[in-house]
Amino acid sequence: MANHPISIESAGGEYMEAVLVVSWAAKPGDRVKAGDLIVTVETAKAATEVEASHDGWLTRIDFAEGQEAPVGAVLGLISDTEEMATEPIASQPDPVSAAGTSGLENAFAAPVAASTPRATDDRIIASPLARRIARQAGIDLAGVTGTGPNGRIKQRDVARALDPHPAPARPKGLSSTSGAAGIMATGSRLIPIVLLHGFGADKSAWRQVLPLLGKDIETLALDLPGHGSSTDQPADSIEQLAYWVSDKLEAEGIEHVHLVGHSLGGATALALTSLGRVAVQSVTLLAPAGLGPEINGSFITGLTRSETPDALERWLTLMLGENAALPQGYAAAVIRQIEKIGNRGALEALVGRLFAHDTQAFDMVPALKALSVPTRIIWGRSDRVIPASHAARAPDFAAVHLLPGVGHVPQMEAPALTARLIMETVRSTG
Amino acid sequence: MKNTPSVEEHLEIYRKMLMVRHLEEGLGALHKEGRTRGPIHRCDGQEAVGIAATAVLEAGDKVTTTHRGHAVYIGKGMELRPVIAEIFGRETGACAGRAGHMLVADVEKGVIGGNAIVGAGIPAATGMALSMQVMGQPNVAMCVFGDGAAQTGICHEAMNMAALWKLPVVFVLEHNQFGLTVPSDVQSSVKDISIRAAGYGMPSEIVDGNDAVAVYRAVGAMAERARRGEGPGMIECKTYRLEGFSTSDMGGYQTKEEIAAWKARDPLKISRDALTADVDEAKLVEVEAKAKADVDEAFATALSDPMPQFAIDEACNPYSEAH
Amino acid sequence: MALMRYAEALNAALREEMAADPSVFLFGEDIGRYGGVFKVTKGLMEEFGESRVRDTPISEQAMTAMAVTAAMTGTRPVLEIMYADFIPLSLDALVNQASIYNYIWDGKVKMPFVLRTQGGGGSGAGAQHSKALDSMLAHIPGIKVVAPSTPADAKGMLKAAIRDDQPVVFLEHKLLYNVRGEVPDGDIIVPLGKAATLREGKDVSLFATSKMVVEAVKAADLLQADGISAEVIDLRSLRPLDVNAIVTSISKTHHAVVVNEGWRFCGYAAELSATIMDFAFDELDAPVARVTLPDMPIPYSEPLEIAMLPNADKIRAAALATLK
Repeated sequence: MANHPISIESAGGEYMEAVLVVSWAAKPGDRVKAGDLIVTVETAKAATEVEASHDGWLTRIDFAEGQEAPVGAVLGLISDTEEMATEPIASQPDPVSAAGTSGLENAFAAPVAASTPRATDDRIIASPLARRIARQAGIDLAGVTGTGPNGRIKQRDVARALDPHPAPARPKGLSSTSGAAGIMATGSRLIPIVLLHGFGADKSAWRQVLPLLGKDIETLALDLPGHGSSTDQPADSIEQLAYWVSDKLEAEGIEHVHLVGHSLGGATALALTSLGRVAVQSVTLLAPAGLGPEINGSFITGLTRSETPDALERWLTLMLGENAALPQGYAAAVIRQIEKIGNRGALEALVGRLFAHDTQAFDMVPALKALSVPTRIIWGRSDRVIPASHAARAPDFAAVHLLPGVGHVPQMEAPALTARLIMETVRSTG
Repeated sequence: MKNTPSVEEHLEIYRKMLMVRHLEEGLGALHKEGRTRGPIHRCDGQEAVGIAATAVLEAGDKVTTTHRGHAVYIGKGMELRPVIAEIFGRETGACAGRAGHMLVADVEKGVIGGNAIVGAGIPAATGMALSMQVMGQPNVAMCVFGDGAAQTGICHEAMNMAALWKLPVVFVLEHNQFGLTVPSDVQSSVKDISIRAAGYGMPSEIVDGNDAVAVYRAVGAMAERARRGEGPGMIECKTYRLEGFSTSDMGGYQTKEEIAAWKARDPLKISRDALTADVDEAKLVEVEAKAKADVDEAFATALSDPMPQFAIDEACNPYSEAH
Repeated sequence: MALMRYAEALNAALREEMAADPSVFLFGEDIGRYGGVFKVTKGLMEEFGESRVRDTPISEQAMTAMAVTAAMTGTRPVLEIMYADFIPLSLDALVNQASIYNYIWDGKVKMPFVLRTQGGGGSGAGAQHSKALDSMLAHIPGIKVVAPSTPADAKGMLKAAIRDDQPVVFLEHKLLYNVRGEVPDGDIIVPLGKAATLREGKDVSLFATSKMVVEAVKAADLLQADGISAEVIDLRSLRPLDVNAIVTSISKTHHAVVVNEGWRFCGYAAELSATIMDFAFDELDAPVARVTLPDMPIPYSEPLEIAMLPNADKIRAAALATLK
């Protein structure tokens, strides 16, 4: 019989270390069809529904509802036959995965699909760095051949798996994500698309868009200072954010970029173009900050101060267009993330400097007007955080897209269209 | 020059010896009730050495003592409550409960410490005397050490350097006849250990360690000599450890006759007998009652004091930044 | 800037600190009239007198204990223990005395003493005069242990050590005393607990102290010829350890070779590799490689001793192995 693991990778790009199993839609022994909802997990910022990859029977559940599973872990098995897997079903959080990092070992040692070259009971030998990069890039190490001593998978092996045909002139850092905290790189192309998230978010804001951008591109999603994995980095001003991004790119050996920025990240992208330290090839801005004074200060304050999922959900809903709802568990996941990385103070400090008294204390219009590269602005007509009317301040050369029914986060609300528009900007540079 | 204590000084020595005796007996009682923690080393019967020897010292002088140092702590001026609170591991203890009864110190008072590595107090006092000499200070350091410590190698090294450099240090040998359970004559090649002082070119004197006045006179003279810059000296105080090595001592190696003979020469009794010549009975009874009451009150207060909270000591962090 | 030998740099530090602070005094075997067997204290007795520069009897045990209490009572002693191999004689004073009092006495005492000693092999001094023993010292809480590799650091760190209110064991190396280097003029302090990057590199990080830094730099030259870019970090201080410098370097190179002239088992190299796992596990692309003395006594005869000591070739081999 063939077993098909249900794994977190099928949920798409994911940069968290662990996910929470919210609910199983089937129980062991149930017949499932490819495409059926099988399990709902809570990821960085969203409840993600995982669909069955094959027709068959759900024969095993490895992580019960309420348990945390490492990213890359096998959550359960779908078998071609009705036989039940012999392993006991986990009904209680097991001490290993509950303890945290050691659960990763289970993840990589778990049985994998029959098509992979390794026997199911093979322990994968990989360096800690290789494991970390694979986890971040969503690569299953079972499919990677190790070239180190004892067949150990090293960083170079994962890099090769990520990009079997590296371009000769490729900047070094991108092939590997080596050591660059907060940088995620996938795909391949000489000039990367650098994505800058908005206030209070992190690089996972791009998780729906990234897989839709296409294969032959290079992307880098950064955690801005005060956010995500860069919480310990100071940030006082838009210029400082821009300098930080430019230092980060320089450290990676990146000289040419396509910029994509959302909200605060949009303002940061514009500030970066003024620095002149990187050669910007194109700019795509999603509801960018800095084009006018108005901003919904209540939203910003509510975002930083809410301490319960219910309270936060009320405010987060303002990100979306009218009548739209957040995915279930989203607010709880955001709260958990804020508490885990402890950046509430950093966010409040940033609010004080940038958005005090419902006002955007910085003007990016001159930077926008000075651009001489392809420029595109995408704004939801129903944006309740920064009014879409700011788009009217765009210079004539910029393409402006006003999306009906969309709020402040086109990348979440209209990921396919957003991805398409980003790629059109990028391709328009030739 | 300090030679013979005045009546007032002797009465003060007597009062402190009484307090130490009540302290030791109180600890014994609480140990039986299971209310003490770890071993307690009592100095019953040896009070005259620690109290009278330190009575000759001035405020700026320093003293090191052994793991059996309660008489030295009180003699050099520490209050009862911080000493008792320390013995019971309280936050209000002299060392905030970190030291325990063997390692008590009060730097301000010049008690630079009990020491539970036998022999370690000898170079410790010598080092303080070195510091005083280098800085040209008019102070002396005193080391109260036992006959067990006298057998260590470091004792030889320290005394040689003390004599060589004429350091202002007084070695007060509290000869209580035992190193843990082993009698001195099984440990030492000589009966009177102070004859070794001659080997360092150092003066020495043997006194009745249960006679506070004799201890005071001999130690006082040696301290003044050291203070004048004439170098170290040793006073061998013959005494006896009445209550065993520690509260964990099973006993059985001290004969009843021997204990009875030394009890007959209890230092409290010797001092009281001497004091009756100059102090009327009512005053003595008053002093005695006050000493008991003070100890009782100190126990009651210390025992109700709060326990300390644990915190990692940043000064010991092996990394150059907090982790 | 002046070109100075390592021993002269130490001498200058002692002279400057003694001139600036009358509570600084020196004692140790042969340090006065003779000027020290490695000439570090040359001329200081003449300059500062016999009270502040004392020749001592051969009494390491008591001398170290005396340094502890002299430091607690108003002076800043600098004690020379002629060979690190004699440190075991000093251990009670370090382990049971110096290390405990600041904490046990609730922060009420300072212990500003420096124990200078020198260790290490390569000079044919035999099994009792060639050891490093730095692991044994760095094991003790409350005591700083530093081991500079250059004349400039020797001076700047000795001055810092004398002014430090905690006990500092200052480890020199008999084969470094004649090494020359530029030493900045004036009252320059090199803080304790800060590593120095001597060579930037991107493929592998070499971590070392004292004489092993010299070997690591040579190894980096050899590796360059192999096409490998090695980063050399002079830790300078064993305790407190600049763990941020270690993590930063490994986050760049992902490969680490730790070098220590002490024994391997339970040694300082073992501590470094455990520290790397504690703080930078996910940065490692290969196990940490250790280059140390083998776990045996140091023999006398030249080919026997040389075969045993860590050197540039062994560091190079370890670096190449970790990059496989």
